[in-house]
Amino acid sequence: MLTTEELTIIGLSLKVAAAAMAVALPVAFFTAYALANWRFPGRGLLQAVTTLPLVLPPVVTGYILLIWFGANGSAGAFLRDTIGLEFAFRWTGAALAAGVMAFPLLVRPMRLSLEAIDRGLEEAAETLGAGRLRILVTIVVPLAMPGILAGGILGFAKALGEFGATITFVSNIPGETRTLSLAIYSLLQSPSGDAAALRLISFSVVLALGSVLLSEWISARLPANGKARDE
Amino acid sequence: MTGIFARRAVAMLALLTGALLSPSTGSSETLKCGDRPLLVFAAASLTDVIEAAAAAFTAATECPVAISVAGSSVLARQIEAGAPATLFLSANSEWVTWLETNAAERISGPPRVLARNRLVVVGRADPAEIADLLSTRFAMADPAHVPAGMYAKTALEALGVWTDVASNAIFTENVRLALSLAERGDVSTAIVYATDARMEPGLNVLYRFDDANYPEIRYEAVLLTGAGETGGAFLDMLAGPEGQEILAKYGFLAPDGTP
Repeated sequence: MLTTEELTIIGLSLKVAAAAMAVALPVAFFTAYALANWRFPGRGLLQAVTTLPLVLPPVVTGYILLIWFGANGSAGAFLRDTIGLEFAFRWTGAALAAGVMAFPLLVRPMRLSLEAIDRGLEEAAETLGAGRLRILVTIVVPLAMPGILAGGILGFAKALGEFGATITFVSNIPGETRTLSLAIYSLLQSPSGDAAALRLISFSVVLALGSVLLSEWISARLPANGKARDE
Repeated sequence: MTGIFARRAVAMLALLTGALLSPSTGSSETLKCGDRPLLVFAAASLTDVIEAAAAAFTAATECPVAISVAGSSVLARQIEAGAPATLFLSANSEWVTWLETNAAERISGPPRVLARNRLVVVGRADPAEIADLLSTRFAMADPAHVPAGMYAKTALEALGVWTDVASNAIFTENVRLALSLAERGDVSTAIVYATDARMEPGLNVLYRFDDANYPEIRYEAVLLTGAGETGGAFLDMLAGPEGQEILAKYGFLAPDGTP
């Protein structure tokens, strides 16, 4: 049904989005937890920075990444020389761009979910002698799971469709950084590419719609919104 | 990291072999492909023609070519930031000059003009005077930041009609969008490149701007460090008869301005 080239594009997109989520999810959860539970200096700033990729033009985010994480960028050179991780014009860079762009979408539902947790449960567990890690694993994470899942799915869909930051940061290299949206852009440059573009467009619409519907379905089961937990 | 060193070593080797062999002996027997596909950065408006040329090159040499397409400005900045591209094909000479100023260490050869383009008015009506063609709603690329729009505005100013027709203009993000507005009949005419006009057989060229009325629209190519023998061979092919024939097929003018 799909050609080898299309399978490469879709496979690469899924790899990029999956890697982006694997790294971004824990970081986003920690950020959401900090924003929901702790009062600390710079909390407002953290909140603003977390929202930034959502309000900045993607080209700006991509350009900042290019300056910092490019082959000559300071952060890029540091990571390459210390842990051997290279972002510049690699699929890992596409994952970085996707993760950064999806980050605000991850944090928001997680934070709402975390704020909805009854603090009494955590306090009760504490009086019964549970440590902080145990409380986190047995109470906080399970109760926040709808938010984690909703954010994860929405973030995954966003990561899958990211365009502006990706093409600006890691270019449009076939097999390496040419993800779904970049492939569609490339096909649309050519008058003979309409039909092929349409196939990829249909695929991404189905994927995005499915993700949003799944996310909505889970959101409706958030303890704060429904009474699903009591049933 | 070893990948980079290996690539550099291969590039050095290619340069050495290139220096030993005379350029005219660049046949398929002597051409050593790199360990990765030759990475070419090309302006988005060249997508079709470069893919066609790369396919011909690969067929002749068995060296694979990977093409990354985006705006010339984005690609130039990425080259400055260390992108592993071996050849840069820009839609205008401005970004090549910018690269020469900002990333001279990446450039390994003088820029070469590959092709030229010109502006035309397309639509479904009959050819007419420029002022009449643009007397109703027409589409053109945004003169604030899109090169095609800047050229069009300069040409209309030179013809002395800009102030009369500017209020009829719909400015688009890129020139292809102006073309599709005309194709769908949302506007009666559009100012586009001659190469774009060929893509929509349903539209006729109603007016050709005089080249003297706007700056030369030049597509320039520049060889980058690490291009090796393969990159040089691909550029030679583009500038040579075979590449020029492909460019002409897609409506580009020769570097001297002849069709």
